Amino acid sequence: MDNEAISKLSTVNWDDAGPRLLEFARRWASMIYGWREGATLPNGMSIEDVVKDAVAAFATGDRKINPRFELPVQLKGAIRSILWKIHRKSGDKLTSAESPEFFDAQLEDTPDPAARLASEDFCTSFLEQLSADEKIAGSSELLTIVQAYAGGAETVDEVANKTGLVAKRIYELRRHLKEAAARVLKTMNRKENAI
Amino acid sequence: MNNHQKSVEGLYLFLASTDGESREEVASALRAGGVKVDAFVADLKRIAGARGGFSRVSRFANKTRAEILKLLEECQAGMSEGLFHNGLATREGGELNQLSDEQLRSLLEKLETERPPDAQD
Repeated sequence: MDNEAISKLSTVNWDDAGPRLLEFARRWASMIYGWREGATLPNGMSIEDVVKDAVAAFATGDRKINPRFELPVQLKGAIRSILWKIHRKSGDKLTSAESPEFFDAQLEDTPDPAARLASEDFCTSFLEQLSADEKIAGSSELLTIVQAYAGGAETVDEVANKTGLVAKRIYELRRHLKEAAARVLKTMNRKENAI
Repeated sequence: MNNHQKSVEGLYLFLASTDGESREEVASALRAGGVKVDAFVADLKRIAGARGGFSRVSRFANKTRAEILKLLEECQAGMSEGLFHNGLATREGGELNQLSDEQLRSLLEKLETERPPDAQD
């Protein structure tokens, strides 16, 4: 047990954060690894298990709380990391190549230079194809959101500033973006498998 | 991380995020997916030590055997005999010295959870 971590974890409103973390994990697993409702992960774990393991990692001190980041951000990072490790170990083809390892780099020092380059190529291609997706290209609002992220926006507030859209509208459009991203990832994965 | 990696990460995080959705919307989506939300949250609270009595339980992890035995004595003093022996019911003859440190910690945690709220510090 890490007493300091337990103390910080005890301040979390789990009634709110718990379901949000689980839904985040489900969406991340679906988007990045092609996980589908009701399926277990390659190692037999459920998505719920992943979230519990992420919390336990901090509670036991296996993972240290970084004071530079908010706790929910770190919990999400831990969830991503666990999912990545599960899929890396399984040897399954990832839906989005090496990218999860990169995304963990914000909180962990992991990737090697070769993987970085491969991932950058993947990300560039993903953004290009997403912008060209029929639904995105046909909606000025959706296109400006994609362009805002491509242009370096990291938060919804920054997207709002770049696009002129209010945050509420950006959240409303998220579902359409998610569908388009899934389409693009599916297409890219199909091409990867064909190679 | 290069520019496009960072951009895609930001976009993915936005797409996976539940910001902008109410707690009820999120919970409903989970329930529709067959998740027992309340049980899951209860598990998280237990893991995070956020349930009542966490402060004592977390302290036990670094206690020596002698300190744990002393706390067990204090616990006994603060509880009715029936409740205390109920907690010890699974331990043959209540021979605490025969239990491992981990068993003693578990017993202490168990007694803490069974202890009436007004008896806890």
